[in-house]
Amino acid sequence: MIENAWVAWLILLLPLAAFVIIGLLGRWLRDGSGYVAVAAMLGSLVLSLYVFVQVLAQGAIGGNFAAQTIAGYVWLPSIPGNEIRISLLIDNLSSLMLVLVSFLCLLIFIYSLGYMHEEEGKPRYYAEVSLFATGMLGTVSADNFLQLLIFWEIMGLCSYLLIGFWYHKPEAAAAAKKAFLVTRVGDVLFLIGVLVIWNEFGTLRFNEIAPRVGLLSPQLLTLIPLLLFGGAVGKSAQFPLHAWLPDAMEGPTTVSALIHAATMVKAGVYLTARSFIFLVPLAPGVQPPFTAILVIAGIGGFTAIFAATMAVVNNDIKRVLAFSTISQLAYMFLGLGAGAYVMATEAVNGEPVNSAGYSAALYHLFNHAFFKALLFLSAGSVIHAVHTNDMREMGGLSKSMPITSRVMLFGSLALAGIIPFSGFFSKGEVLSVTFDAGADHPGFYLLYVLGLFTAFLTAFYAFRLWFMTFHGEYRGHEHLHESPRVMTTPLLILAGFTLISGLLAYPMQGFGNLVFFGRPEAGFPLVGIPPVHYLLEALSLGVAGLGIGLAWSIYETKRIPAERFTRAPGGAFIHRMLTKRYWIDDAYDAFGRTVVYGLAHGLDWFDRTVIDGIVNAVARGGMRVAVESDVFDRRVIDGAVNALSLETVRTSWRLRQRQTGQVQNYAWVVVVGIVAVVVLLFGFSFLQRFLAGR
Amino acid sequence: MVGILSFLWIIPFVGSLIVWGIGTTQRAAKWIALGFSLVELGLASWLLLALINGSWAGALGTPTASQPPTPGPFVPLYYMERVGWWTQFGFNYVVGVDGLSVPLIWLTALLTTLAVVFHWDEEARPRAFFGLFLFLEMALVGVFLALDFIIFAIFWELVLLPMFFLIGIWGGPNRRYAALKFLIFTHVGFVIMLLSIFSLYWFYSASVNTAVYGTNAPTLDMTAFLHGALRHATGSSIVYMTLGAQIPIFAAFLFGFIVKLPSVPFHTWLPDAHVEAPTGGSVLLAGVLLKMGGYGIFRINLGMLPDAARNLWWALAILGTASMIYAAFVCLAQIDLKRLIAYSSVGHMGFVLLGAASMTVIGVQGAIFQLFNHGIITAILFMLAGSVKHSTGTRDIPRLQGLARVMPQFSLILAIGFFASLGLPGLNSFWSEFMVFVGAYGSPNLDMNRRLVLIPLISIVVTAAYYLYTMQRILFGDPPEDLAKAHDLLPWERISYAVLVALVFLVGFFPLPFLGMINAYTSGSFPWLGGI
Repeated sequence: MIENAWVAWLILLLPLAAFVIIGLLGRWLRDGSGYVAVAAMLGSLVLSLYVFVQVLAQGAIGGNFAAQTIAGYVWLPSIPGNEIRISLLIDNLSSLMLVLVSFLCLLIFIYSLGYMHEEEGKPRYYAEVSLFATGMLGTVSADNFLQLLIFWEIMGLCSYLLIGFWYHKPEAAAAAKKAFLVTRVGDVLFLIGVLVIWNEFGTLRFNEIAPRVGLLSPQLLTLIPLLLFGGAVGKSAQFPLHAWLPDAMEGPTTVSALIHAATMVKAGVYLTARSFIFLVPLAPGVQPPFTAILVIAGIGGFTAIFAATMAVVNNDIKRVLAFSTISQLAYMFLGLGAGAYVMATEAVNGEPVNSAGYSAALYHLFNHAFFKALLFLSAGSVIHAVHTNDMREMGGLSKSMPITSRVMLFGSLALAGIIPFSGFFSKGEVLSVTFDAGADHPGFYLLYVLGLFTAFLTAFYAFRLWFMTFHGEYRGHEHLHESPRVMTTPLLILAGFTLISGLLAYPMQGFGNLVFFGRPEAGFPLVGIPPVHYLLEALSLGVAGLGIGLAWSIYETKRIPAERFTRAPGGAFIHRMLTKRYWIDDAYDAFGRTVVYGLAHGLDWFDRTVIDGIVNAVARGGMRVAVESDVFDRRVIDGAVNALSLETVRTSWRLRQRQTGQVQNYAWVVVVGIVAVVVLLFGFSFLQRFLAGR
Repeated sequence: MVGILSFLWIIPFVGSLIVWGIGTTQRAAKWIALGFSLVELGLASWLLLALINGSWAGALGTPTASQPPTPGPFVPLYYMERVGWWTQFGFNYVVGVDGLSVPLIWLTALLTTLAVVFHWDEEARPRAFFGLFLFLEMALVGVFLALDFIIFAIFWELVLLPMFFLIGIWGGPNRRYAALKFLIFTHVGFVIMLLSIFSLYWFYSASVNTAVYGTNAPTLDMTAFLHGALRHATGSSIVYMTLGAQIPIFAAFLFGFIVKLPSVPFHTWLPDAHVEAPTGGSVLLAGVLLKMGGYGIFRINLGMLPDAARNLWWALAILGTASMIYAAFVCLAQIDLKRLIAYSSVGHMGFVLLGAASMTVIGVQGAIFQLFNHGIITAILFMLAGSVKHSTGTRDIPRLQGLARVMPQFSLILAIGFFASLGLPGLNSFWSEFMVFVGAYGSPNLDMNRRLVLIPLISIVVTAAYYLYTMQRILFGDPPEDLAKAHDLLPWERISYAVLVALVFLVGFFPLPFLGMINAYTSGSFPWLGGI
């Protein structure tokens, strides 16, 4: 049991308080708003560490820490004894994620103090990123799927607001809308998943669902993780909902680093990890949903290479990194899928299970958060100096920006997967788990090859970016300078972590001893401690070296001219296809413009012309009948009706003397209405008796 | 006995007479109207608190459910007031409240007060204007209070009068057409509803009255039907209307209510009425008038005709789903901001029908909660449409651009209102829409094919699309020159927005007080509903 567990609430509430304070007082705080956000985040980090250290001290490494729920207040009272509450779940994974998220938020907030210094609307920026921090911390500490969904959407809102931070730019406004709508499609699937889970179990808490998964029918056991994965595909920008992330780069670079690289896009991976309770039901006699697992691994493997190819041809420094993020996230899904397949097969065969893939994917999440944040922030530092995103207007920056150039080299080496940088350990682990899964299902060999080729492309585009930016001659016209210390210090810290985070696995005897599914790995091949498969690790390293070498010879020594590829037969077409992003964005736009707006305008026309046309025609017909039967009306029916309507008519006349309304018409409507009542009443009672057989 | 409940409609009635009927100065009119609406709001808040927590009732007396003399389950109704009127004909003055009506009564009192505040600078005939608002409040509260069919029908019809004049006198250029269309549509619905009231009275009320109250005489007392239906639906052997008798009456009532709600295809009066109505009129029209339809569906269609409801659920489901999807797409094509908001109301009221159709506890709770939440949000949105017209002189989306720069406060409220309306988790209407979907998915009616729930879910994405598309066009970008001098929110407008936005967040974070009250209502009135 964690002492003073209530402080975990403060981890979420401090940034929320910062949001409220900055939101209300921002006009007076101005530059101070940044310090409020940083102070709140520092508090969150300290408290996260306080919780995490206790979790560690109570034997988290090795699996002796029992997950603890910190119950909050009731949200939905509907089911007596099983209300939905807001509660925090503290276990190995969530306590680690809390530290990771609050640490990265803190570093990026500090960096923002320098990067956003000249911007207008700083209070708005810091209020929104603080709210975002609440959303992300709430997502990783939720103890049920609904709470996860709620904080997940709060992040989505902040992502929308921050992408559109420079709202006067039309591209930013369009990108914000696109990001929210595309992820919304995934969110609907997630929502359906929540509906199905609640309907089946009557609860949404992870810990209560896990032991009862065996009660599900096989169809639902396949459907539920796929629906949850649908949400993950949207949030983590996997194919086919990947299109929003490259456009999201319209936001400030700090936002790209924080939300669209280090934290929010990881939420999809986190959700898929949480849905392991469905993917690998550790109950005897339950057939695991192998189809769902294959879908997850397949989308991961495909997206990895799909996004990497688009990164190769892009000239926008941030968009290259965005495609890279999609590709690296896909590795995590590949690792989760392959790991789940291996684990499920072992469970079915009654062998002892090991969650190497689960641990490898989350290890990659952990490492990627550091090195991708570093890459984005370095890119931000570059953009801060050259005032453009276009790498064709950069070059030779290593002279004027030595720190940025070196830390970015660290990040690129980690991304490429070069030993001993962190990317090497986790990426190699993901690939070797995929290779292992090939023994259970041959499709994984194909995915392994895709993953290996992606590793080659990754190394290539990472160093293409680095050479184009920092080497050669400067091609722009700005006065170059290194960034201020408030920006370079976070860069140096992150650069340190790209080295350390890979080696952190050693003291804990493998990352899988801290983050695991089912039980820790002690006794199994350990995740994060190479070399497990010497050959596979060497192969990964080899293709990465090949990629770097190719980038070097094209962009540094220019021994191989880039035109050789575009002039080759089909090369021009492929190049065009890649720069046009396989025309998928265009197809989505065309669908939206023609089908959705077409339908909208069609229905609007229908509403105005057909429905209202009928209404007006009926009204005109009624008018004509009324006028033509006027005489009959006055003499015969009015006499009978006047007694009834006298009071109403009088009132109307009084009103008319005061106001200029359509009183006469109103009086007529009342009269006609009452006549109709009387007539229909007779008809209706006749019908009733007729039906009753009297 | 006449007590607090009667005062709830008497106070605004007296207020309207004083403001309008008895001469006061134009300047004093708004102050008198504000005073009366605040007293009313205080009284309604007291009632609300008493129902949320019985120990807060104080001088009102702890709410205790009133019980008919015969043994058996009964619908919990609190603070009942009953005065014999034409007792020999079964016409009585009966009012009472429960977890269904109290949120709506409070909503009425709140929105009337805020509408008065919002129109603080009204120059055109303020006495009549504010008098009509109070008269409207009287009629609306009366509808939610009434538990006798005649009282119900009188208040129902009285609602039309002030709204007709508010649109017809203070409305826009096409106000005559809009006012008349509103009047005829809702009046036709009323007439058909009246028909079924007479039918109930003549053919069925005597036997139901005998079974519940032991009096063999026709009656218009709604409580007799409510208690009788509950006993009938929970399996007590009691004489009640057969299914064949319930179905035509159910259909007739439903027609009256879906015209008011409104549901596709009887919705076209709504956009016209809103576009022409003054802002305060729109606030009450969308915020409360539409809720009369939803209220009627739960009070009468589900509460009194359970057999028919269980058989005709599909009609509700089809109407609700059609409204949700149809309205969402039509919204996407709108140019007038106010017309867009009006259509979005049609879509959001579709949730109410879908929740009712689910025939599950949680779905019905979600639908009732949606009535309340939509009232809050749509009030914000219609006020925004009024503010932007006041400030820039237009509501045309293509002519508005870059308002985030020139009207930052307005833009913030607009973003909050839009996100609340599209059901962003953490804001109030997320809960109601989520509960409706939980109910719809888990409905025993959908046992054959649960995939059908995907159809209404499409509307969620389209709803997000039209709101975001609108925000992109009117808030973002650089403002054109003719908007550069637009003023931001006026001080009294800010008060109205602050109250409503606070409610959006408060109810979003802490839905329990309202849901607890609604939960008490559904578990007492509909123990026969299915679902988890």
